[in-house]
Amino acid sequence: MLPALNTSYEAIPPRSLQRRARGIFTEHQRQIFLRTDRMFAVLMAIQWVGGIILSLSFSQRTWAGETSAIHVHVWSAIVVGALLSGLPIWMAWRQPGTAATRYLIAVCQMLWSALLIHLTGGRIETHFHIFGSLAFLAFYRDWRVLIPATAVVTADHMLRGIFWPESVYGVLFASPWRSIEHAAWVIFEDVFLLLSCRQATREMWTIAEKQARLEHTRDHIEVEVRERTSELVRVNKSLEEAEAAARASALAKSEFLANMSHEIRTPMTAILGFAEMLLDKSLDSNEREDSVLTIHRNGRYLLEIIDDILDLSKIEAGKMTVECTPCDIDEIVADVHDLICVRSDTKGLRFEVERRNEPPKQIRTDPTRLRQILINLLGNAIKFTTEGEVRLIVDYDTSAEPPQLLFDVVDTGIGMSASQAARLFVPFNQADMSTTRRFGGTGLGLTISKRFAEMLDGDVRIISTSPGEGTRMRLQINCVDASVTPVSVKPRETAEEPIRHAKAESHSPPLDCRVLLAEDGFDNQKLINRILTRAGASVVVVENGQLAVLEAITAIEQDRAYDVILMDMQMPVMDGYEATKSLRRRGYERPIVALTANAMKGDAEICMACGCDLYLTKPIDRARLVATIRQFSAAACPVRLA
Amino acid sequence: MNMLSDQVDKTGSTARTALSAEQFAPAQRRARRSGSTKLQIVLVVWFMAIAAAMAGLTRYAYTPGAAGEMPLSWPQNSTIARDPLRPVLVCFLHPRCPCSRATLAELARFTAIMGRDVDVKIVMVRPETCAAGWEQGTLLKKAHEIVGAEILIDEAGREATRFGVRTSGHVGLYDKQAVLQFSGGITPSRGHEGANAGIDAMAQRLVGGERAVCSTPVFGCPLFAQPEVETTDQATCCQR
Repeated sequence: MLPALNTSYEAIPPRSLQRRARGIFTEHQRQIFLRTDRMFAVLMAIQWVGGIILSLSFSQRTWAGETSAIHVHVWSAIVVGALLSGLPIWMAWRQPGTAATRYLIAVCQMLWSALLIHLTGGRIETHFHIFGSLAFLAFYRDWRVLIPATAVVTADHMLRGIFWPESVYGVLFASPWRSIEHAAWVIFEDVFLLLSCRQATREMWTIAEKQARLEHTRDHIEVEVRERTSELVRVNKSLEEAEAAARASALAKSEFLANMSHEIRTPMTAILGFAEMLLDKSLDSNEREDSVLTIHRNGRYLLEIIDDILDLSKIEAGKMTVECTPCDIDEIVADVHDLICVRSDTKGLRFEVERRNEPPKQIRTDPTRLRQILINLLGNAIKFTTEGEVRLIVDYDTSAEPPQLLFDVVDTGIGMSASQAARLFVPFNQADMSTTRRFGGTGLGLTISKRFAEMLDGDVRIISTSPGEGTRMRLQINCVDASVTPVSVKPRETAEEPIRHAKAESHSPPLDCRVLLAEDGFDNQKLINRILTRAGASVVVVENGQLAVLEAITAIEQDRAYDVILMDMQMPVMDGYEATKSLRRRGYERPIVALTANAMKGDAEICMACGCDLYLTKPIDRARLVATIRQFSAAACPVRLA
Repeated sequence: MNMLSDQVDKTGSTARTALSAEQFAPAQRRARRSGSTKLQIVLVVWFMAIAAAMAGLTRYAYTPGAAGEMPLSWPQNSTIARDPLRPVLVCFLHPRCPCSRATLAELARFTAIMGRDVDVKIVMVRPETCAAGWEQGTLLKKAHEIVGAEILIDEAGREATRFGVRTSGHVGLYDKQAVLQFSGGITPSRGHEGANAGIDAMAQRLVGGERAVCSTPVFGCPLFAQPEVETTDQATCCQR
């Protein structure tokens, strides 16, 4: 029975630990049994040979006068010795480590003591073999082995004490107590050997426990190391992938920058070139108008590029937000139609809007982004179609849940191959890089459109395309709060916005108002001043917010108050936000219109929160600026516009 | 693993059929039990053989040699000189008897105690057919080592015959008046040193002065190459 588990440690080991400790202990014990069996097998052989040598030394021959024969002791050493050694050696060979083997060895070892004592003529020194054998048997660390050994010695002495007392005690009659006395001396040694065996067993158990704990810890560490290594490999792989992605991104961005350089320099070339041409006084009015239109068109193109880049950056930074307001699909489609018609007419393409399944009048979405996506898709269709038509099919799919609004853009253009189509929505990538040189473009439009579509709870995808056979692309968005009454699509009046507004404004009566312009940029001061002055306004320019506040208050005190203050929001000394707040705190109630280059959502709210009545974004739209001034100056009273 | 076994079918003829694993397990157990039984039988036979051998050895050790009868008085025709002023102890030995080493050891102890109070004669009996020098050996050497003992060579065993001894290790103790006081062996068994009745008896005779002759078994080789005569393995009068 194994000793009880030591529970004096800081924590009781789990059952698996106990089982392992028991296994280690049992194996250790088995190894001891095997080793000791082998040692005794060797000792048995040595004793056999030694017994024969002893018998030949002490009593080789027996004599009768001049005749002699081999002494009985020699035969005893050979035969009895073989019996005493042979079986234990065989058992140690065939059944090593078993209890039967070691008990047999114990018995035979004691019988060897008896034989050796006999062969040596009862020498007292030979009796030490008994005590040495008992000590050697303790090598098994199994106190039970001492039982048969002690029993053999005791039985031998008792039998001799009964039948041949003189062989043990040297007297013819011996008291039975003498046998007990002899046995007691043997038991005396047994007690110490037994204690030694038990102590050794306890130490073996402690070692087994510690080894089990060590293995458990080692296994745990191995598992940890494996997991950490796997994790490290995963992280390394992620890092490598991220590095590869970063490199690819850097490469793409380098290519993008190269593209951008081209895209920006191309219109800039036109802008600067035609601006320089305008200095030529020999130009006639048509040439001048053409130059101005070219400059303006390229300027707007540059603005589109800047807007695209800013949009993509905001999207990738996760800062792009979309509105969810009720909007009229009819109006959006009409706006898009107006704009695209101009382009299609320019290329001689047919552009049609087709309606199917009566789309709802209003849906909740972001009209700006929806318009932007449609313009991008239709713009691409026109760009890549040289002849034929471009169609916009507006469909309403009620079979889906929720119902979806589908905008299919179908063209008869150059189409795409499968590999080109696969790269279509990757930023900074075009169908192929040669497209940039043939057709222009930054490669961002479709990427941005797809992202916007996803933000509107929809998607942009290719329905069909084939080289030389045109393309069909689809924008689908979920319909929320769809209205019941369908309204037919009607095209609106065409608007080449800025130029046409300018021409319309040129027919309006001149502005009769005083405008305070707070703007730190010299060119912008000149531009706005010229626009408003030519429109008939009287403009005073200051270069920072502090001066604006001072001038506005002074003007009121001097009874020459300004009708409108145009406040640039980014100025030195005091910016437009602080200046507006300061004026409002002082009770200034006249209109203040913010001029801001920040086009992000929220900027308008900030301007309004400071006390502005309206905000206009840069670059300034001339017509809108004049219309705004006209609107506020016509009121000539504190109006807060939403 | 299948085992083939003979089975008798309905017609009475034997047929060899394969045993399935389920049928094999009991067969394996039977084989194991059979093996275990054989081992037990071997162990029993083995143990009995050893017990018999040890018993035989012990019996041999305690089987004395032929009992000789020493004359009650010193033989007149003995050529061994006797000191009339001291008791004489005469010990007859076969020069090559291995058991007589114990006799010499006991004799050495005895003479060490008794000193010159006893005249010790050790007689090495050389058989008639053996040449001079045959008696040389370890026993003679040991005999010479006993202080105060006179070593004599008994050619052809004449003195041994005169004293009636037949077994190596036979000791006789004669008093000053040449009367036999003790005759027998001075070892407890063959070749075995240690306390024994013979030494005790002689000591008692020399110290206590008891007059009755005492004898003990003699454990040693026959001095002469004669057929075995009956031996006694029981104690004589000294073992009362």
